Amino acid sequence: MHGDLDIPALYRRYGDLVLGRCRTILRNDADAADAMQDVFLKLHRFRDSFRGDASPSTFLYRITTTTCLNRLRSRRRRPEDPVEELPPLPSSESVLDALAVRQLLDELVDGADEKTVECLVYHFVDGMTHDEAGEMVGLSGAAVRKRIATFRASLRDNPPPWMEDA
Amino acid sequence: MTHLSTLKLHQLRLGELPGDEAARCQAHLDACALCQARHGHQAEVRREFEAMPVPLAIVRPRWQRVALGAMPLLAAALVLFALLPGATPPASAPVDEAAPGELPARVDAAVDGDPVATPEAVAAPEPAAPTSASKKPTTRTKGASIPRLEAWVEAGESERPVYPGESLGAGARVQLRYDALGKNFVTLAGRDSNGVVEVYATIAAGARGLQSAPFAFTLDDSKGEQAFFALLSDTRLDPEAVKTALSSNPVRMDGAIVTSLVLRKD
Repeated sequence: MHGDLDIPALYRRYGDLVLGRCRTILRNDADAADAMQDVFLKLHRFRDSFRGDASPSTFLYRITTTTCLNRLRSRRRRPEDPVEELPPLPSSESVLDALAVRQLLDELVDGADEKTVECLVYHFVDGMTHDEAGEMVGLSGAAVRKRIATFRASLRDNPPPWMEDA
Repeated sequence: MTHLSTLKLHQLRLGELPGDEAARCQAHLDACALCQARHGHQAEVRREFEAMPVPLAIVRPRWQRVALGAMPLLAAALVLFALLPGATPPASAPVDEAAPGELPARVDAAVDGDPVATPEAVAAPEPAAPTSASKKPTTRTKGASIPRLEAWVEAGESERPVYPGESLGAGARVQLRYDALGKNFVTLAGRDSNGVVEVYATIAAGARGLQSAPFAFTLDDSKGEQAFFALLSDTRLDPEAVKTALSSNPVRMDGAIVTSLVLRKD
């Protein structure tokens, strides 16, 4: 598929994956729909980055995560434009409940570098192992574990219970 | 075994896991209530997604077939129109827009030596005069921001603005840049020489200042003028309403600031 991504086909096959991911991180329907469209439009621009060494779902998952986290940062830089969030979902594709996801993304990760934030999201929100998260961000599993441990130690208050198994 | 990751759940459904891993994950899914609930949630999102209209920009990516010229070199003229006063009007206020039929006149003016052949001039175009068809008085707040829409072309490893009168060949990659002027949404659309309007995308406006569209156009060899539009709005615009507005003469779109540029071949 290198250089010749069939974007409509990818959209049909993976659109729900991207949409669910956007909703989990952004927690706003309109923002998630925009982000989903952005992700597929970016595919064309980043097509050369797809070397076929990862499945399209993994490749899309990375792009979606990066896109959504960038949007979250942009949203925080523009507090004058508040985004109405969805109410906490009764069910979610995350292994964490909606309140914990919100706590992680809105309260805990300020000050963490971008790669550490991705490690935290992949591990805690998505339930990936350290090795799996490492594959997503280009680090070893041990490096992911160390980053998460360092982040947890940096929290002044007691880390939340769901972070105990890091 | 720990819970299945969100991605793994998707890949299991999609049949993208190798046999032994798929069997292991399926066994966990069969026994884990939490993962079953997450799997059920993914199925709900899937059903919802399948009921959503597919964005036109994805069904028929414009970058694969935007027309600018059949000849190896095209004379491309760039004109920027400010179709509304720069001052932000009430969201419900009708807007003043240039009639599509006036675009060639502006192109000709640019080719004939309008002093807009610098990046600075391209970045800050003069608004078009009110059209005779739309006789609403134009008011402008002194010092107000001017809607901006620019076309940039790849040049080696970098990009540069497209200049009025410049020749672009088929295969050139052009990207739009816009300033949302603090509006919440930017809708990008185009109209070809046959008057066919296509809405490419509606984008939630990000940071202030000039932003790049998240896609580019590769020019093909079809002929005629190609107009690009950016509609700045506080609420998401209905794509069908945008198509109707951009197909009309004069162009009218309630609740939006409209700016455009035209690339034209000789």
